[in-house]
Amino acid sequence: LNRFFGGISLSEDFDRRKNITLVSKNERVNFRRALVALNTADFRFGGDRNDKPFAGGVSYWFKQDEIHQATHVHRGPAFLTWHRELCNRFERYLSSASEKLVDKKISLHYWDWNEDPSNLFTPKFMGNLSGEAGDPWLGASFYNPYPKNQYYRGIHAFDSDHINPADPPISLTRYKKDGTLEEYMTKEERVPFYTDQDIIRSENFSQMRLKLEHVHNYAHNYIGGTIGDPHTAFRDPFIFLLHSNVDRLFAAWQLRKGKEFEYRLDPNKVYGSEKDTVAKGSTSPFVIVGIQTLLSPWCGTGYPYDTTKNREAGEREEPGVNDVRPWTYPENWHRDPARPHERPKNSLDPSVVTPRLYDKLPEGFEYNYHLARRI
Amino acid sequence: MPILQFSGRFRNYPPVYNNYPWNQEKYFDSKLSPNDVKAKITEGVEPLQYFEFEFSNVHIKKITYDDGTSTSSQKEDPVVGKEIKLKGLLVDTSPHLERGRLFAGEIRIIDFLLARLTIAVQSDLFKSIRNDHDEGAKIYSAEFESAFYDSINLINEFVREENSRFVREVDVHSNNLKIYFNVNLFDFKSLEGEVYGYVGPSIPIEDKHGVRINGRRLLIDPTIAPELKRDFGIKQNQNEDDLEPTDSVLRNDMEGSYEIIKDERLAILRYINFIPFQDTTHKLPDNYIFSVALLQNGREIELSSPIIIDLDKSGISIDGGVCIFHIPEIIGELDKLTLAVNVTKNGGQQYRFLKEPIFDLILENNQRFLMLYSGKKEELRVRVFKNNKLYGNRITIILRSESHAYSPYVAWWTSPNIVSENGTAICYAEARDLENSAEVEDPILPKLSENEKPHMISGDLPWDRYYGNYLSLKIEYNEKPTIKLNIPVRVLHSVRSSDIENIDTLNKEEIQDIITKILSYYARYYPWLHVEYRYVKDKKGNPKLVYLQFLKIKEYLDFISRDDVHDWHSCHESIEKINHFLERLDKDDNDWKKMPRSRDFPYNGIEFLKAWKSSIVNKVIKDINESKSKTIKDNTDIMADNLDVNNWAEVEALVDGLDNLIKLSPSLSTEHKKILLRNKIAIYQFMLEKLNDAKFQTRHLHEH
Repeated sequence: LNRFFGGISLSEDFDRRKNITLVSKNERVNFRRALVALNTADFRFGGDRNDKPFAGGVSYWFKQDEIHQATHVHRGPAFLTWHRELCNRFERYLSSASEKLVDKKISLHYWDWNEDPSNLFTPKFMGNLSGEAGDPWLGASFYNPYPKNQYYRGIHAFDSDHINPADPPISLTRYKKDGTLEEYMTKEERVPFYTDQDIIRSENFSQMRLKLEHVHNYAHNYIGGTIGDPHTAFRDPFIFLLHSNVDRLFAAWQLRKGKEFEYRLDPNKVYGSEKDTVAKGSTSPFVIVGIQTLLSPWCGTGYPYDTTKNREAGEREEPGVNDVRPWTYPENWHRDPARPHERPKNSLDPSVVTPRLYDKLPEGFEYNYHLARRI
Repeated sequence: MPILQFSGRFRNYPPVYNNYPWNQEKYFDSKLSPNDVKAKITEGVEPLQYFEFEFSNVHIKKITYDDGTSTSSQKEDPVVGKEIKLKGLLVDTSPHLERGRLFAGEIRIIDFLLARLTIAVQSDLFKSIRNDHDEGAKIYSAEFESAFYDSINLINEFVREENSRFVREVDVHSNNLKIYFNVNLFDFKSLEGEVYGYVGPSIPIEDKHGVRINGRRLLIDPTIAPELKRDFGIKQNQNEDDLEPTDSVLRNDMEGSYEIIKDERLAILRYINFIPFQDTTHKLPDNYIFSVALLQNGREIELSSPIIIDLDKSGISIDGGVCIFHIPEIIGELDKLTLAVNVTKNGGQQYRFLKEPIFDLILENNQRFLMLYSGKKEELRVRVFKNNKLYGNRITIILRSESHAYSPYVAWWTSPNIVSENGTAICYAEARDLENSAEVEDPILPKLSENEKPHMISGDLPWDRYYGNYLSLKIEYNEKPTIKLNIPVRVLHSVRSSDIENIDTLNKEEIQDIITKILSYYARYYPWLHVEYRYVKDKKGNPKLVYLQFLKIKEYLDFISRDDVHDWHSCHESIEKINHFLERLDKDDNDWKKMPRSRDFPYNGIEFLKAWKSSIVNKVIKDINESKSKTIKDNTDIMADNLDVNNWAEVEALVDGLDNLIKLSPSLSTEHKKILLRNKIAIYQFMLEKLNDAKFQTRHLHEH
């Protein structure tokens, strides 16, 4: 393989996120194997499922659902940045799993939602596209439809008797709609579909993130089933292909070539009028997360490890979320001086503002690919 | 157990506008921006956070160890500086922001523990800023106390026995902890104030020898020097006597209290409510020093070093608004110990400022409020102490019922006085029958002139209001200070039990009338309570933040009649709406998701909603049974054998029958075919549920 997209070589290049339909068969296999590995004993956070007050022993894979469910950062200025942080962190786990398996890094590839993804849904890659997802996820214990006397997470995220994040969900389903996402949105749902170009042409961050979240919402429904419910969406591995594409379009908007677009990589300018937004609403259960809000659950609860003595009241902007280990007791990674990369941050942090490198950004514009971040 | 002293700020979001009955109802309007809502409707309060209370930047400033020594240095003990996070819902008992109760409280002390809090009831409010120019909430202070439960130890590698004396001394498995905090300087603009307090062992009212060791009060010495009265802003005039308790929870006199940790012989004096601060920076009267005097059998003990209360701003902050000191061994029996607070000015003459009263009274369990159901009577037990022990002789307690400016007179004592015996007296409070009231003056309806006669109301009093007034208890004793308790009483409307029992006989109008009544104060006062944020696009495509009402009470009140339940979908919709409400009403009082004002929902209100729901369901069941019987009856010739739904073979045959029907009827329209197919799918779905149940079922079933 040595294709060229937008002048960028794809050959054995692990630094960039690629269109999943175009990666080599081997890489796709590695991608799947790395995902599966994240739900094995080798990739499990510390503790035990019966730990109090916060359950431990959660696999790196189930952790993603726990994080998403505990925070639920939607409908607000930080929707894109929070999900970028989630994807970036997950990519590191995925890559380390791949390195362990085949001694190769791997990137978090994406599903270009202009394409019908039906071909991805096979027992050797993403499982079934209608009904129970089946293999490879069933065999890898990503869910367990017959738990008998074993623990499980309920179909509904608010099934309070079955919410332990260490347990497999009782189901993983899809009900993919016919045709492409655009066809589904415009013909079946009769709502506007913003093309990639519509999104990238947005004049400011606010307009762009509204359009992007709108299409993203319908992408969830388009796949349907477990992904269709925002409270359970991260139980389905396909979600990361979807969100990698969301992040790709955000990256494309940021990386447009031209003097007038350079501000989009500047933390203090990229978010425009939304730069100073803070969390809105109750500490529970309704929170809209702002750009100034620390990204949770990674920011943990309580002060960061440095100090708070020089901070004034209200200076810190913490969202009210459920605790998620290891960013709470007993590990407290967010306060561990030996883990500087876990230091609490908000959406202004350069690691959040700077996009990851993608193989190809949508046509119709020129991009500064070289300003993107490699893995 | 070492004591953790803390200070910082708190935030509270009271429903300011909505709490006053003469304010006009302001309907929900999704077109208003959040800023407009705050500016025009809620008086600056974020409606999404109505009733929320939370600590903000509260940190442990000092640790007092078991031997009475202390540290405020993080280097000496890393627990110093740890943040305390606390949140809960502060709902007032009585209307108009009186006697708050903190529900669903949760506390986290970083690197120490996580716990839930029992309901904390607000004390009286004391005028702790005493000058002639400051006014409003910021001049008052009040205190809360709450025990911990469901405590979970969070001690970890950041604090260890090796580096923390606190960890070495604390019993992490103790279930006997509490928090005390004093809130003051609350500002209705910023919705913030200051908080001081401590976390320590939970102390009972009395020790095992019957000596009071918690809540001992200190009141202004009636012989206070005129110079102190002048300098401390203690006034005495025609309308106001700052040496006497008022007739409400807003107190103009001053009061301190202390408790004793017996095993460690430590006393904790809570002083914020009695220091006469001169302004909102907590400036003290010039050149005054406040100290604690210890008395044994009424005689002051000479101490090796004076107990000075450190009252500069940083001193209050570090001490958490309390003064902790060791009780010297010279004091043998704790019932012989009393405290006083002395002051000196310019190092000159010492004056007695506060002293312990000889008598005191409390309601059993230290109850500070009363909720009465319409027309009901409740027994209250009063405990009388003399010199911190239950008073064995007889003494009269004068009972008075006070009127209230915000409510008709609705609660009263059944007798004008009672006499205590062996330290206890029993009295009865009675509530007006709000649904069938005799004529009573209504202070809420506006009078056009002073000369106009008061408005009178009677019969079924309006349900969209709060009703309550004070009941007071005073010890009949000539010596000052006067010992008096003011109990805010809330009276709640009641749904008649007969309406629940006879729900099936009520018609649509009658049910709608009752539902409208029981939800009317929600609809009237809190149209903005059940909202969440949504971003919508403005005309330019930019995001615009708006409120979305997720619990639409007004809409809910437009419900269907039982007579319409043939229409299954509207029945289903109606049941869903009732469930939506019940889910939020029926939760435990300490559940964050319970509707805040559900703690004072009309009596029998929830039961009525449940009864109404079952009557709708029963009607549907009846209709289905009738339809089923009729179908069988009308087709007896071809329905000789009824279907046994537990006989899987019969159900399978039914599906085969449907298949045959579809196959053998090529002329079936698509629509008819669709109906048959849907039936088939419904049977499949039914069987799937049956089969799943069968996995766990052991009993034999045979149903038709």
